[in-house]
Amino acid sequence: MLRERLGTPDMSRRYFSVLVLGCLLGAGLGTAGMSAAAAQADAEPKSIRFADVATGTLTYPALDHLDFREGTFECWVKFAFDPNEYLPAKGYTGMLFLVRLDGDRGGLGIYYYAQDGAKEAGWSCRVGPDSKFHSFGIGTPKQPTFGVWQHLALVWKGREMMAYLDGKESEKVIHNEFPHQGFGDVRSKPIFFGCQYNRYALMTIDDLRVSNVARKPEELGAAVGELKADAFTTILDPFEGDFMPDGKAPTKPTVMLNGPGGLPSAQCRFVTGKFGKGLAFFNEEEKK
Amino acid sequence: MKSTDACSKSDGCSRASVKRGSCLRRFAKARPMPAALRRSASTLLLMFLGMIASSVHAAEKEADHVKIMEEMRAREDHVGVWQRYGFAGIPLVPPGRDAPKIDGVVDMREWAAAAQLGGMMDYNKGMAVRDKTAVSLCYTSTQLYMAFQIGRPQNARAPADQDLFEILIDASHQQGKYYNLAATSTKIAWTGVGPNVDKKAWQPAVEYKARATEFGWEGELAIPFKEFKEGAPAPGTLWGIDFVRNEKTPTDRLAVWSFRGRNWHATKNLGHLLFTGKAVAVRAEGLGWIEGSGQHGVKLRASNFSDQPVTLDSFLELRKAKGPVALEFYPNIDTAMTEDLGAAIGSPLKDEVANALKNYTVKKTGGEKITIPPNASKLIQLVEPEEPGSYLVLYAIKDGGATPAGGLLTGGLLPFQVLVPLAIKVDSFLYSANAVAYEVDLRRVGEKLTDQSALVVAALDKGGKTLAQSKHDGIQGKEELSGILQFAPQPDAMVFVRATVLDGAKEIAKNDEPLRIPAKPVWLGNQLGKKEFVPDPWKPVQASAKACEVLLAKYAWDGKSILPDIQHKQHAIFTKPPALTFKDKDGHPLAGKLGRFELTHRNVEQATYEFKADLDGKAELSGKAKIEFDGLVWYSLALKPKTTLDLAGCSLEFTLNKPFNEYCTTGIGITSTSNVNYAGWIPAEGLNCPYTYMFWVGGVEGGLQWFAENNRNWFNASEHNAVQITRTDTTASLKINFIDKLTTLDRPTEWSFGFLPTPTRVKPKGSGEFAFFQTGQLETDQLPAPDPAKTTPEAFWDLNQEYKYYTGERWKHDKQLITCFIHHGYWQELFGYPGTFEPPRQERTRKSAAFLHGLGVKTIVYAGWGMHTEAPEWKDYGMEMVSLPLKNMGYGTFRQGIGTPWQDWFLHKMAQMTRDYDIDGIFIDSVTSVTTEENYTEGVRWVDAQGKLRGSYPLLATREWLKRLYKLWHGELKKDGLVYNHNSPPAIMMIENFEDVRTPSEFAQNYDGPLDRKFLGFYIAKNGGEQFGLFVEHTSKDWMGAWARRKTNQLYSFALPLNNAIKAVSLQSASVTQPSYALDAQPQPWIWAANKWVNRSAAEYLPWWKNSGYVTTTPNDDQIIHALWLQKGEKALLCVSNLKNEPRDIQVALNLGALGFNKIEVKDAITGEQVPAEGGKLSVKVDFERYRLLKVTNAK
Repeated sequence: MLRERLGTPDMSRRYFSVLVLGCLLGAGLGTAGMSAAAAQADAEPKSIRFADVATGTLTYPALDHLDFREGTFECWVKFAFDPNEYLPAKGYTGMLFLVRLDGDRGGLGIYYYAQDGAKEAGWSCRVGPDSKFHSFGIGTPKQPTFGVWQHLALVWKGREMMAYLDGKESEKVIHNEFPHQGFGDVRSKPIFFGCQYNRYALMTIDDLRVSNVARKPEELGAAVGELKADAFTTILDPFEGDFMPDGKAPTKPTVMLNGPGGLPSAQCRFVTGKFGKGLAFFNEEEKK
Repeated sequence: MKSTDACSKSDGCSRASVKRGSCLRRFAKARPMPAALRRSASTLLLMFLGMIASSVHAAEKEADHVKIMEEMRAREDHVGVWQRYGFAGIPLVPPGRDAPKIDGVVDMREWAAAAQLGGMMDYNKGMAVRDKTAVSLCYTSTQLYMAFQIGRPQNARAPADQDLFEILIDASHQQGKYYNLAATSTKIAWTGVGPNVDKKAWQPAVEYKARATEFGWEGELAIPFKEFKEGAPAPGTLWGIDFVRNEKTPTDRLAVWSFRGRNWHATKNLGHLLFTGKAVAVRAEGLGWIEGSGQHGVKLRASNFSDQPVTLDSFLELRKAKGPVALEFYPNIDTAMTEDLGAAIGSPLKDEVANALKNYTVKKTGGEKITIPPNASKLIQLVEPEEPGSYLVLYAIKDGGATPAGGLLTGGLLPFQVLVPLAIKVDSFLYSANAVAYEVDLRRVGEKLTDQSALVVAALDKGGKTLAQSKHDGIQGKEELSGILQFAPQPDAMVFVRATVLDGAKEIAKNDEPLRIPAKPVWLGNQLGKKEFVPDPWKPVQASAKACEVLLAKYAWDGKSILPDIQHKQHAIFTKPPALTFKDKDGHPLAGKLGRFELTHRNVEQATYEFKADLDGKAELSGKAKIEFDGLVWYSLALKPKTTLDLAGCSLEFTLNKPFNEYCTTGIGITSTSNVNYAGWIPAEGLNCPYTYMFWVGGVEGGLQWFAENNRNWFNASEHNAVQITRTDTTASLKINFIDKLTTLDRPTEWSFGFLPTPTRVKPKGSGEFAFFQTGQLETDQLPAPDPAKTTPEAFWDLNQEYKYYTGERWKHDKQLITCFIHHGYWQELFGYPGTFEPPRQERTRKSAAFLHGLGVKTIVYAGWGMHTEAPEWKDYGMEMVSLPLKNMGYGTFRQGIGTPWQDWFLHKMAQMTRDYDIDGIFIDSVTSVTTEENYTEGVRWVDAQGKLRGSYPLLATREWLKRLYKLWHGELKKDGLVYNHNSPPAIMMIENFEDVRTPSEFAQNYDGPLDRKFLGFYIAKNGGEQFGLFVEHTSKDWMGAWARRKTNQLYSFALPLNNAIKAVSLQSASVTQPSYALDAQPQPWIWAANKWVNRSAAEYLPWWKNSGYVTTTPNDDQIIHALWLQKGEKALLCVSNLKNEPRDIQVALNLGALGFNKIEVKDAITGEQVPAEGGKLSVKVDFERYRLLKVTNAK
């Protein structure tokens, strides 16, 4: 259970603070890890080290796509960094900010991190405000993780929230309040992929789908493979882009109820994906 | 010029015809007058002349009229008018997809393939309510599925047992009965068939589950189609439907999906449900103010669950009110279209929709064609960031298929407001009632309210001084509060209405709304028409201590009863004096003892008596009786119990002799389900009625009419049986039950009512020769010949007809006979406005009156109908001059508030017109057809025992208005003026005594049934003039083509023998105005000539019910009627009518001796044909539903 892993709610709050602080401080947070990783850089040239490249972001309007009464978020993700390079963790080590789904009073984010001293890193879903909502761990992916496609899904309905990693239910929580009431308006913040400080998003994603129903496991991408739109799909982006992202040109989603597409920042590139192309949040050629 | 007369929805314009939009007025009003009015004077003249002459072609153009009428009906087919009647196409659950499971959990996935309706409106205001409601619908071949989700205020999420979700279904779409289902959050509360729901009539096997949720509650239900007698709907089937939030907590709230015009049972106003047979679902995701998104507008999600792509067309529009909206969108349309008013009003529905939309500026419009692949959804939206204001959002989705509404899949219009916190709406009634009415919206401060919160509303002057203040406690959970602040107006000043929410001493929220008080208008409080004198034909009141005498009636009190014995001077109408009876709780009459009866005030116009009586030692009965010169007796009673008084009955009863026991009429009732508005024979089984403002019982020559403005303090076991009219072979009875169930009175209880024996007037002097011609102004009859080179061919044709008439022999003939020109429309710029602004119009009106006066012809103008919102007075005083709640009368007008400053203003304007243009009177349209008002003026609003605000019919104020006008033209400004009054409902004599001509609508021309005894009973009761002393004249609407199912000459067949006339409207038209009995002929000039020939005013009128000593016919049945106008020994005018629908030869035998004749010569007054009449015996051929008018001369 997440709370067992994270300890008491107070502890989890503290951890969350540290995580955010780490993101804010950027390079400082990863100093120890990067030092260790730097030693391995020549041995593992395929992995990219934090801060070697500036990572990008991808946004979609949340309004009309994200409904916290009921819904599903899912995508495929592949790390461009090797978590093992930073493990065992010396200090709280945030490695990847996948996505934030927020209202104006609360919301959730999916992160990949390692606790202080942990030998493994795992996925976590931070949900707040934590006086009303429970954060939880999604799970620790099987090794190896570097360069391997993982499927992440978050499903919610009423006060219930479930996470799936590679198609398997890994966690289920019941919040104290209904997310659609506690998170507030979704109009003010976008669905936000990546790290706003352009650091912890060394990843490629593919087949992003947001739905307005709680998907069953057998409907998830991990089970069905390449996704197709249906009447419950609010966003389905296969990232079959053929342009150079510049922060202005939208992606070409198969479905997007409101608006032309997601906006990948200039650091992003369309690369080989899980199915056809995917969207890398970095430009390897810019590696320092 | 064509007539634009009123017609009644309450009489011959049947409900069916009104529904189809065939009401005559609608046609007339649909003519392009507003545009015409704005044209230049010269253009107007051409149009005017054109319209005169266009009637020349009436026959030729009949086909066009028919076409127009049919088009109008098609336009009015309300199914397609989604801007008024919400439209929702519901999808068929596609094959392979599970129907929703009825478990009370409204799951997005299971209802995704359903249509979702939103946009519930306040039942009274037609304005979007704040709390969200979503209703989902889909169907299979056997079941109708519905789900609902009801959002409730944050502090009252959980529903109570009294909170209902109701469904009304008109499955036959016949707009009559409806299936009704009501559900609570735990069970089905009832099912049944409405109106007046019969719960046994529909007991379907409904599957239903509901539950409380975090937002309020939700439920699901399935009804098998076999539970509807109409069965399973085929694709394309339409149902009428409405969904209702009928809540008692946290406060009484009633919200509907389809605005029903504040008439619960108005199934004609239900929205539409279309069974599409397709798997395409349109869901209203956001409508109106989408608060969660900070937007307003519309968001629809269209989902295609079929296996084929679908292409949809969308139309979306967002409009914002240009300024304060006097009457919100739906009430605006609905009051224009309602059939509940006494007068017919309105134009085609689409026109009214267009007019109502004009109050809103288009902010944004969208529309696109979208293709949705199989198993996919698309969002169709038009939104803007939220900004305070009043808005309309319109949406329509078409799938291009052949649905009954032209491919419409879903459509609707939602009025909504984006509010500032503590929004204040203020209406000033300071000049009419020393009152400011306010509404404060609490919804945006709702989260701040506690059980200690209070709202203080105050009016402050510019210096901050409090002029008036009110406080509302216990406001938590309330959405809005309303009230009035009373203070005297300070002319031409600013005041501020401040709303403050307090929590103890702490101020939580505050808002100010400025209000400008305009200057006091010069016309307010004028004394026009109030000069003390008695106009013709009445005489000054003669009053003594115990008797009071007027022109045709004498009232005498016996010292025992507070009610008088009534003696009519012409007829023995009453069997006994009227009786007011009180019954104790056991049903025994209470003995009354009159202690005081005193004449306290009198002048030439009235006498007032005050009285006090003891009621069996248990209560005191006191009050006043005022008798006015026209015979109206008005009682104001107060019953004061000494402690408490248990009464089982209190009734007033009039008993009438034969032959005054035959007919009755009623006004409009208070309930929508038992409005009788009856006119006709008293049914053998009698007539049970709810309260209405008037009842008349009588015979063809007289009777008794009773009046009351409201039913305040009536306590009835069934409101539908409050009044009983019964008859025997020798008597008739009118019984008014103020109380007919056990009632405990513990405080003074007041009643007021009036009565009047009829007739209490005689017909106007010279009315036998009255000849009215409705047309435009005429400045000269020396018209130049029109030049075809200077005009269009059509205009030339019209102008030439005009020229030929006024310069020809016909005009020479007619001008000797015409009493008065009626300028019905077009003389003024604003419809119904009592004045004109443009100098050319003013000059023309003045010159025309002068020219016609030179010929001895009077001139009257059309005015009334309503208060025009483009009138210069509207901006400052408009809301103080209209009837509340507002009633859209169409053509830019709201119905006037007759007891408001409008009355003084109208008198002022008409006096001004009389002085400026020398007009001789007025043609009034609809004003005297009383409707309920809830104005703030004294005595109008009241609250019933259930706490419901009720209104009154402004009888006294309407009487005062008409009496003032009458006096203006019968002594005060002019001596022999004319008040020509179009009042469609049955005559209301306490008002209509003060008119020279009564026009009782055009109903008879639209009547399609046989001219039999039943019809004649209806016609006499409603339109007869003899029993009221009124000159009655119909209008002619032959030019309306097929609408006029009976033509002028058919109308004459029953009108003429009853002494009724028909107005002329097409004298210029040689093809129409002909000396003929043909259906396409109008013979008015020849009838006028015959009237003059016999000197009809001075002749003895001998209709068939009293001429048996003079005339006999063979055959002699109910469908042969006749009348004589006799100058004994000299001549007589004889009308013989055949009401049967086949020609007949009628043998007429005249009793020459009784007539004072020796040998007679008989000549047809219309055709001029000589009729052999040897020995007084005539044989006349009379076509079906026609008459012969014969001039009988004593050949000395």
